[in-house]
Amino acid sequence: MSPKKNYPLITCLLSAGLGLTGCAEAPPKPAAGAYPAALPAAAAKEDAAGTLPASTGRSAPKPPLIRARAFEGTVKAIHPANRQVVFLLADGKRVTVKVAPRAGSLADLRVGDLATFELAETVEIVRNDDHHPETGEIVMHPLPGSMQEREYFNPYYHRDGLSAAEHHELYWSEIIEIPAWVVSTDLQSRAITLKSREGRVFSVRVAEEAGRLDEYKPGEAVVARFKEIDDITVITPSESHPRPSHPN
Amino acid sequence: MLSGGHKSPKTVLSTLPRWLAAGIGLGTFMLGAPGHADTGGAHYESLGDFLQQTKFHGNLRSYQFTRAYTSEATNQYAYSLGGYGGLLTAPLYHFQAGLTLGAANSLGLNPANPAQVDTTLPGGTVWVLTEAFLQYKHKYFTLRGPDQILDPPWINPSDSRMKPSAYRAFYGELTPFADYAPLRDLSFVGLRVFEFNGRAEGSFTPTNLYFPGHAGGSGIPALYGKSTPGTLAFGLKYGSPGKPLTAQLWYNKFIDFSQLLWLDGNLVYKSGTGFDPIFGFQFGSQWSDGENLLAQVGKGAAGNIQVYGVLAGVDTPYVRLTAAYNGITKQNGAFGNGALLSPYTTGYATDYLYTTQMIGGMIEMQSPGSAFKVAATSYFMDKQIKAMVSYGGYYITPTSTFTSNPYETDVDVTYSFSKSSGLDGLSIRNRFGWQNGNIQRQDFFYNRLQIQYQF
Repeated sequence: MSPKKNYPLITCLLSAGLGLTGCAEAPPKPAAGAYPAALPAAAAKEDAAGTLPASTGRSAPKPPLIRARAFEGTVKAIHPANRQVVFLLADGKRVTVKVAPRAGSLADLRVGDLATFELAETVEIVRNDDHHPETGEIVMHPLPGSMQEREYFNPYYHRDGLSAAEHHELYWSEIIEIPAWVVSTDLQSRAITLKSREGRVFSVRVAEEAGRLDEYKPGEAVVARFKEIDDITVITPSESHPRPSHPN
Repeated sequence: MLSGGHKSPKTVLSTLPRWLAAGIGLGTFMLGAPGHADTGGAHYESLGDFLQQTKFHGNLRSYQFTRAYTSEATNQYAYSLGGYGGLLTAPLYHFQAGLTLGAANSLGLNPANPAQVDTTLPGGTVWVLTEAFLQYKHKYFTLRGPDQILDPPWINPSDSRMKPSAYRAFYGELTPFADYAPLRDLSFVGLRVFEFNGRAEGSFTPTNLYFPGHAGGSGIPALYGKSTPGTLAFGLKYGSPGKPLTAQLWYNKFIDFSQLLWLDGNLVYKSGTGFDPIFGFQFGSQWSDGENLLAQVGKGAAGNIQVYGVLAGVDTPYVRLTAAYNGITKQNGAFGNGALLSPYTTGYATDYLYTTQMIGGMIEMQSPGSAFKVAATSYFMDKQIKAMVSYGGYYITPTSTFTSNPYETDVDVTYSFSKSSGLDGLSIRNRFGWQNGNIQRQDFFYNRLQIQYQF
């Protein structure tokens, strides 16, 4: 949820040009949610009360550490043949992700369903020393001495960091990015425990392709990238694509 | 506004953006059909759903520029309100359409005497469909055209005024290693520019900034009424923002002007100590091209010259310190005694040389020689404030405009309102440049107050 914009004040500042006097900053509001919406707190504790599970029917309570991996999105497309699902996330990004075999059949999933899913193993961990202090987005850090560093506005705004030409970039990707801090690592099981920007602590396995685990230190800011999900749970079924009723 | 004698013929290409805009509208209408799905994985349940996935972007800018000289040159002032805004549609069979409108208006606040107006801002009213393109985006390649903003070195947006420069061009990019992590950031680019829209103009023309009529360009009067077929370029890029190593190799053929082979690389070594060494290099080799227009008008063809650049510095938790050098070899009898040509940035001071400053650099001085620059850049208050202080010196072959070696000192401060405030997206920036040492202009003070709201 984005903070409410103070448009009158912005207009005042823009039109005033030099005259900033008398314009005051509005009181702080909660930070913008720029990443897949976290599962609502209540749902994070209890599994999907009153919801329609995907065919796996996994409704047994999960340990809090595991459920903290649950994220939310609207199903936009389903490709059963290659087990891919397209989600529209809360931040407007659209991701095409693979659904792990252990998640079971996708037969009960419908386009338009609002669902939660859990992130499978992370395929890449990127050091995020240029993260935005509030949202954790990697801000554009122009190359030293570059024209972009000289000419562009403060890269505080990620959007601005995308240079004028790069707004062609897709908001549609095949990777879910979660900015977080490293809590701990377990080299034996290749697990990393992360704390997301919203304060959720969760553990995930780190894929072999993500490289060595021992180079990440507790407290370090990183972005964990995911291509695969499992355990999809429908929390609001699609109204436009109803499921066929099954006789009891 | 473009005032030169370039009458762009009404070709199929020049009318394409209007057809494209109409196509976008028709396509959007057709998407209203419920339950539309495509092979690219997109699914739109309704027009509203399609629009929800269409991305809107833009900014509103309130800029005020002031030029003051201690010489007899006329001081200038300009105010402009404008910016640019547009959309990029959701994908449909991997196709997307983009539209961006750029506009600026002085609100009647500029001096009545045109000589006292800084027309580079621009000084009057400008509006143009900066972008109207159709894009095919696949995992392994992208094709885009015609009207668009481009970002390769030497063919860049120069977005330091109200709106960026744009190009009527076709652009293609290959990313064949998208699935192979070690080479994922390697891409191949090819592009062909046909027409150019300068940052202070409302139309595309088959020209560049060496032609007269571009505010802020380096117009050569003798090129009035002439035109150029444009530019052809191929590039190889490695790296992406935030990655420690980036490098690119480009071949640019500025048709009937010059050809430029360009290589640059940059490494920020993450030492883990908080003090990260920075290294950078630039190399360019230029030679003349085709029926050289500059030679035809008696200015001498583009020189066969080389350009070198090195940058060294250190990134600390508090400030980034850099020192840079550029050298350009000389060729007597060539244009500007062997000046490096930059047809799409000359006069704009938005080229890729390390030593270019806010007011100008070696490209603007149209001279061989050498230049240095030292700079300190700091981001503080959780990156809400960006502050840059830099000093550059230019050792040139004197010209009629630069009769002696100029030096420039810049102070640039930007404050961005917090993302958690109601003013998210709003930035206030003040850039101050002081160029001295050039006897012709004496002291030149340039102040730019820039307020931007980005959405």
